[in-house]
Amino acid sequence: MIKENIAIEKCTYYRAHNNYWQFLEASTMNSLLAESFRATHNLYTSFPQEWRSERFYYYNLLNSIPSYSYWTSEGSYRKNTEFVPVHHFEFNKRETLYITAIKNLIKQKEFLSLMYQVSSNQISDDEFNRELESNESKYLVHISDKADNFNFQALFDVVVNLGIELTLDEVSEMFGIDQSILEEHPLNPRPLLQIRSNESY
Amino acid sequence: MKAIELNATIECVAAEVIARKIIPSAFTEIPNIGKCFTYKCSLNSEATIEKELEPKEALVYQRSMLTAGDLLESDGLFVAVKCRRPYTDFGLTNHSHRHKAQTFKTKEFTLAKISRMIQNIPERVLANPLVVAKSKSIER
Repeated sequence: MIKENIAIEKCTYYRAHNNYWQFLEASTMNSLLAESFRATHNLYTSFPQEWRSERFYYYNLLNSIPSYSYWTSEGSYRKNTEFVPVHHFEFNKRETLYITAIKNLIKQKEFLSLMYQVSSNQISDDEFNRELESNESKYLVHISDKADNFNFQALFDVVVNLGIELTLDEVSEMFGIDQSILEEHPLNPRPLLQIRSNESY
Repeated sequence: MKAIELNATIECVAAEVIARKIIPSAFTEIPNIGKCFTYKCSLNSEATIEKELEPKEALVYQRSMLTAGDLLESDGLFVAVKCRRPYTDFGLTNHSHRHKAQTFKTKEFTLAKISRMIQNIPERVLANPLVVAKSKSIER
């Protein structure tokens, strides 16, 4: 781990002092890049196996001078402005989606276990309320009504690929997004064919 | 009035929920409502308004039914109740000819929505879009 950190520091040092990789000798630059890539690619495991092969990443390295390109699960991503190692790169939208879903399901599970304890008289009502108030973040599922920066394609892909019939409220509680947004979204796999007029109410 | 379409909603201060199976679902913070407990009702579920909202205006969805006695009838209901503690004890009533059912009466702001229609009604014919209400928060 120390070895890896040194490699990354070396890279950032050269980057800061020489402005461009071109000022370095080719051999030292290549070795440095390879070293840093080896350091980072161990930490990032979501690559397909072939992308991790030696030929592939050397190809990638040689073509990315002086910029540094790296791969995400959604395709290649090139950033010319600064050197950012892969493990510092922010999670892509698909991964954040999965993480919110898992978090919300865990929260739901925790809440239901608490509910079970109350209903089976293992804890009193006051203890239950105290627990909910003190550890709110452990149980509370936030549902937002803002849809920006949200990968709906990924969401509906996941929901369809699960192969379970889910209702709108289940999906909204899982992914923390409001039901009305999900319902009216054009990517919704079960679109509304007929809209009733207001007069019927 | 009775509603059976998908996404039909009621909003009220007090409601009676009857279903053969009522399961508490989550502790959520929903926009326009705030922190609330949600329930999922399945198998012959009903929700009736017992007490109307004070200014009779929809707070969450524009088209929700608001008058006392309005009824939702469905296979699956989503219920959100804005209360301090969740309802844990569900009473038993004689609901249908053959089956008994679980029931609970709410005394706080309640939103109920049909999430699954009665099976023999074709879903494509009756579908009701969710339209968000303009008012933004409940005074509490």
